[in-house]
Amino acid sequence: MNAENSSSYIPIVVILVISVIFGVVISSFTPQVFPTQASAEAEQVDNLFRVLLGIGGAIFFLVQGALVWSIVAYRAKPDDDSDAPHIHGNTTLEIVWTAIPAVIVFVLAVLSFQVWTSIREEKANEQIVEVVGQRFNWSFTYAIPEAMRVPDGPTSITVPELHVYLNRPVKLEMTTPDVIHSFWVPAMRVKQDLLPGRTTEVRFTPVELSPDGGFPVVCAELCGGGHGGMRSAVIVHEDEAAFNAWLENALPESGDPAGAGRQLLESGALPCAGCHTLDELGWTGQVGPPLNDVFDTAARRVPGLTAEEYIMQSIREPGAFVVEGFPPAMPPFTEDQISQQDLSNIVAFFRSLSADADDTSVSDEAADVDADETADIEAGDEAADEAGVGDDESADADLAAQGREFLLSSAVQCAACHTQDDLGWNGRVGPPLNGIYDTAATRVEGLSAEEYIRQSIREPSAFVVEGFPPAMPPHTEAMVSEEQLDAIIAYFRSQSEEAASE
Amino acid sequence: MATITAPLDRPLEGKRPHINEYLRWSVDHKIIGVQYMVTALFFFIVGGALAMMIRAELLTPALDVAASGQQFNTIFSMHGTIMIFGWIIPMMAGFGNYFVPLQLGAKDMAFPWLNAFAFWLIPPAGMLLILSWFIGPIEAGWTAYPPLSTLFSGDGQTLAALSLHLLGISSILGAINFIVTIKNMRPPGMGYFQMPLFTWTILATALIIVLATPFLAGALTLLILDRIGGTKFFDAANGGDVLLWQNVFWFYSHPAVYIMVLPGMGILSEVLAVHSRKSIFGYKLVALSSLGIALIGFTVWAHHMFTSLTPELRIPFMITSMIIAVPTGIKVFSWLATIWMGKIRFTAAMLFGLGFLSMFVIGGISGVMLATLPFDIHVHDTYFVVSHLHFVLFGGAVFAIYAGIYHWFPKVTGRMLDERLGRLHFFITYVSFFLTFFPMNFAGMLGMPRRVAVYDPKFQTLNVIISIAGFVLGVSTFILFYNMFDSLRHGKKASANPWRALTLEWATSSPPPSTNFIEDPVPMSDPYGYGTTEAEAYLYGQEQQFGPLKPAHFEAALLAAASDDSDPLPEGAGD
Repeated sequence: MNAENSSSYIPIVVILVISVIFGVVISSFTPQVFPTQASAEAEQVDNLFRVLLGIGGAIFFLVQGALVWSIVAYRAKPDDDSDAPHIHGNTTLEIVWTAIPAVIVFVLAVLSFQVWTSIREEKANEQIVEVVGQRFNWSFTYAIPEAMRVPDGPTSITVPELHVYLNRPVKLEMTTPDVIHSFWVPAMRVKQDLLPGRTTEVRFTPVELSPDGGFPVVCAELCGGGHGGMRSAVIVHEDEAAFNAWLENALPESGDPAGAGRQLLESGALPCAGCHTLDELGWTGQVGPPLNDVFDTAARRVPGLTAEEYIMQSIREPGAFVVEGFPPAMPPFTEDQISQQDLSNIVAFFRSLSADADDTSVSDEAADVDADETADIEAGDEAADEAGVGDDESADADLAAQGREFLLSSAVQCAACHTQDDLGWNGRVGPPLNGIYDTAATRVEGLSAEEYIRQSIREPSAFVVEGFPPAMPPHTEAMVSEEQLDAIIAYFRSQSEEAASE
Repeated sequence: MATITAPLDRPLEGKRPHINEYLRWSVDHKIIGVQYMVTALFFFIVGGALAMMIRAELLTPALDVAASGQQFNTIFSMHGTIMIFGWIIPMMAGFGNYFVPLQLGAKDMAFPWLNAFAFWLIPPAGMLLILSWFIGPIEAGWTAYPPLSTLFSGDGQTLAALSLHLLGISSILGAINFIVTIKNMRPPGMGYFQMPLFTWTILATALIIVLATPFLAGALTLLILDRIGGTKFFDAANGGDVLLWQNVFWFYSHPAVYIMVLPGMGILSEVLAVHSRKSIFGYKLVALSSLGIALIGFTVWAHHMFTSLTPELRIPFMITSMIIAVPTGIKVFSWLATIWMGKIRFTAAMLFGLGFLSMFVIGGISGVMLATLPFDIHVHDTYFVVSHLHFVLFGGAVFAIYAGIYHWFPKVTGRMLDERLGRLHFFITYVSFFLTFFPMNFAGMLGMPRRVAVYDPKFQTLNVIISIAGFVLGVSTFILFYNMFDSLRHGKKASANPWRALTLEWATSSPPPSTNFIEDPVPMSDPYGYGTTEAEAYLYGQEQQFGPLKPAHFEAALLAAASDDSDPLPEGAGD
């Protein structure tokens, strides 16, 4: 057995030697499996990987080599039914293959620690950029240098790409208003999650000019349906002068308030897009009135107020003129949030749209449709009143249908906050309305379901459901008429009856 | 020590239980084991179909197969959840159920009724999981990170969480049963180091399950409360913390990787030794390394959070994550030494065992690379990770399951599988598996994040290769299914010990009688020494000296001998 043992060492030695050669050779392929090294950190990370690939490659070859050798050399002869020599173990060998991996991981840990410390180190003269990642785009905010500022003008600028320049260390301060995202620039080898409720940081130093279109910025943490499309770019400029030239160019010209207003609204710094629709900027919010053509509409809204005055006041004090059919949900914006200069820029932007949009009255048409729908429902009400002599049940059903139709129309905004499966609503701000008629009956002693629902709509603050914010606006008769309210309640009742009959 | 001669193959005939036995409540651990395995194979097909959808979507860089990004997210979320909780974990529990009592020479598990109960939680839980698809999009992946999973994902997320609760309870009950069985049901005289290595890994796995799964239950409870109870545990805007979930979830889910892989390592230790006609090399260290992996496995969870964790905390977790390579390395080298100088028979079981070794080592190497913090930062949440986890869970756990199926199918059904189909299955699976998952390393390192339906067109060539190989891999599975169905009826009759293996489960008929053994087996000091001619000679001598040890009608196959020169029969053995 000893003789057999010693002869079996020869292939082991051969495999070991080839493994080491294999490791060295394969580690030289490191550059092929990485994108370009566009940052100082990239070189350190890649060099560490070269070590990993060398050791990993050697171990890979050692194992596969021993396997292949065993398969070739130790295959049983077809008519040999006997056992191989039963070797139960070898303490020295077992110590060796426990100790060597332990030494390897110790070395790797030390190397990694050095690289990690160096990457994380605070550098002198860091350029600080604020990054916001939200479903599903990136925005980057820069402070405007004193020299470039116009008096009373903006002090910062927000753009959709990250601009940096060669050899200037960058520190990103990152936040997110919604879910977790992860900022990744493969060419820079940096990645850091953006976490709701925290500001996270990441540093890198660009050392390579970006190609056309920049180095890709990718979101690496699953953030929803548009995750794969949440991309941006890093543009690396030649030097500070080139960077400043870009910045100068990106700043709205002082003589172009409309451009400045557009830039501000486009930057994503203000939350308008969440509630308003504005085709020009691709906004699709549904909570507040659409802003297409707002300049023309504003001129007609309140006698004695110009469009400019109306818009400005609507932003500063939205409660003053709530557009019928919309909840008074907009918060007031003070001068801290939007400077007087920014405000007049925004108005200038809307004015410029009005000139553009003279011929196309998309929003007017939309408004017409709304009006038609509402009219239909009112007409339906009357028809129901007239027909509601004989068959009570069918009248109820009619009324319920009208209630449903009214809720589905864009006349009220319940869907933004409530969930109601039958209507396809999935709002999460307020309590869900599935089975509301039954729930309502149990909520307040002495109030019937009908009374409870009626009062909850007219005066929502009276009974706020625990666990939900008191965010629902009161709906006056101007917004929801008594007849419409009856129809809504009839609709909810009909749901309860259907559920009961099932 | 003396060389052990291979045990004789015995023509003991077993009787297969009627099919109806498998369809109803049964407390027989062998019936329950099969119930687990068949259920798991069903979920394997469902999860596999979802994987095919993912690969179809990724043939092009645009969104085309899935109706929306949300639907794509739901597809891969379901794929991951079903494969982990519906396929690998229950499949391993099935192997454990069937073979642990047999390997211990016990009649059943310690708590037969509890055993059945743990299994019967799985079908309804699995149905809930599949139903959640129709309730509303599950957008957040199997990892269900809030706030995506709490404030955005659809109601399917709640249902899936409830389903995982049930699966977790099933898992915990099963694990308690394993621990008690292994502790109390060993025959007198069989110490822990007289147990086969498969049983050792089931013990280590059960310890992990009992200690870790309650953390999953806790995390899921918070998630469900946030979704339907109005709490704000994970809502940063209201004082919650999104990292709370990640910490608690991974405190379970990293050890869960070992829940999936350790039993596979146990299967491998059995298969490699038997089919290379040698003893396992370094039994004691291999057994202890399972416990080492289980223990260290609890200290590494935060390496899943290398891009979100406070930077100062990342180094300690890097070190613990690297250390776990050491016990894993012990296993790999011991397996290599086991087949070294063996007389290898290239059965399908052995081929998958060798395939495991060859693929799992790639997963191990990429695992150490991922533990290396600065490099992980670059490839975290990319296709590099997708590659790594599939090398571990498919190249590791699933290859081991395949090896286990080819190895133990004769014992369970009394029929041999078709070896030629088995070899065909192996070669197609091995090649297509490598071509599916290895190129993902390149995609990840070059800049492709995971969990995207839309990607940079420069990655299309790689993805087309991956998808085509993936489709072949998917189809190759049906060779196994065909083989199993066909062999059940037409396969060659299996004898008690067709592989001439040395553990106790082969010392009874195939399939075993409902009491497993006609007589209580007599344990011996070598877990791999049952049924050898030498053992029988020894026992014959004992019998001559002390009178009949057992009524002789169930062969001396069950009788024991001392492996080294003179370990006397343990006390309590025999009459």
